[in-house]
Amino acid sequence: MPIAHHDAIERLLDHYRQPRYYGELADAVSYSGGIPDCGDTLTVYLRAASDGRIEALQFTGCGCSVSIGTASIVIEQLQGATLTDLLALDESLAQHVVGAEIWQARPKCATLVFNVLKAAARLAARDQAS
Amino acid sequence: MSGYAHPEALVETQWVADHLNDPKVRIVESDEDLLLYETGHIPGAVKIDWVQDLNDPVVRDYLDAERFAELMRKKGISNDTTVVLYGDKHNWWATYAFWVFKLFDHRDVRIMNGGRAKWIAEGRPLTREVPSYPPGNYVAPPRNDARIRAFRDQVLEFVRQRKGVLVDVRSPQEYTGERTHMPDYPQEGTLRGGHIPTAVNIPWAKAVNEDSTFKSPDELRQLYASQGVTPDKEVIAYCRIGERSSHTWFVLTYLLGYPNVRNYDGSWTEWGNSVGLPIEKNV
Repeated sequence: MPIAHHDAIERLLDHYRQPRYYGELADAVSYSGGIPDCGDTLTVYLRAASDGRIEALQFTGCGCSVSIGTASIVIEQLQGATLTDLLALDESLAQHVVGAEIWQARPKCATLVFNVLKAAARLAARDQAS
Repeated sequence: MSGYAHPEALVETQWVADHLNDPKVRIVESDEDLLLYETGHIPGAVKIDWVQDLNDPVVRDYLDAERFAELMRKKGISNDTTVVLYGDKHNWWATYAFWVFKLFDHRDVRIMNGGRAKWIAEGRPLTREVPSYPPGNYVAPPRNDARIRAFRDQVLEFVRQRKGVLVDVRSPQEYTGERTHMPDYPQEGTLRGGHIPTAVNIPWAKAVNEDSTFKSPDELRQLYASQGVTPDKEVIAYCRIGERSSHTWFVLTYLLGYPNVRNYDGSWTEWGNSVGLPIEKNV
């Protein structure tokens, strides 16, 4: 069920003001990405077990309420996921997190965390394979 | 604010506080951050977003006259409304909106000196209540690009014929070609770094004080004249997508009274990605 615009705003602002799972992570794969248009940057830290289960997942970043808020929401939801889950992420899922209106207004900000998460997962999977 | 060429284009925070309930005035917040307005705004202020409201949804261009009129009516703005713009980042996006308002020749549009930061620093009230106004009565003329907007081929001709002075308002690192983006911003935007030949580099934010207010007329005159940007010359300003340069355009046109200033909104994202255009690089 699509999230209502007002609810999406309140949730984004809540996570923007108090980001969950925020901070650097030692002994983890990290990947940074950003949006040149507006300057938002995000780094994801990921530690995975040999069976692919995510043991720890955090992020740091500097950006607007949409990019940071979305990152916090998505990373909270992905606690306990697997590398396979992360590799299967589709940026269109952002619509369900931020709602259609915000998605249309700031698609790059809303999808930044998905792209960075997938890239971090690819790095982690490559490390495990080597 | 005495000494500015067009003091009527700038209002202080106290003026805004005194006109919060003035039906002839519409206060408009315009930010980079989509949801900053939702966290709290000046009581009675409406929001205009540079992506959703001012850009064409498909083509890289601004909205047309019909859409602009519709936007104005929706925000309760009529042709004779005094529009006061303010926003985040030293009014960077507010001046961008100002420039778009002037593409449609809106008569009375002003910038709140110091923007959102100064209003908050002074402890003035914010609200999360979104106001509702009766629709405005607005008729927009066709967008007038010729006067204040420059296009790529015009800039190329401008450079070749040395018609005036080009002002690159990006950071020194972007200007030299060391970076293709602002410091601390991701570097993945344009294929080539550097600047348009003959351009001088005067970063946009040199025009403001730490509290986001504009520098004094003397300071501004000195800033631009020291690099050969003088009112007797035709001036074109550019940055990366035309927003930072709209700030410089506002300063030169309204605070210093330069008569012939245009904003090249195609800017470096167009120039640095175009095939065969000349580029100067200092690194």
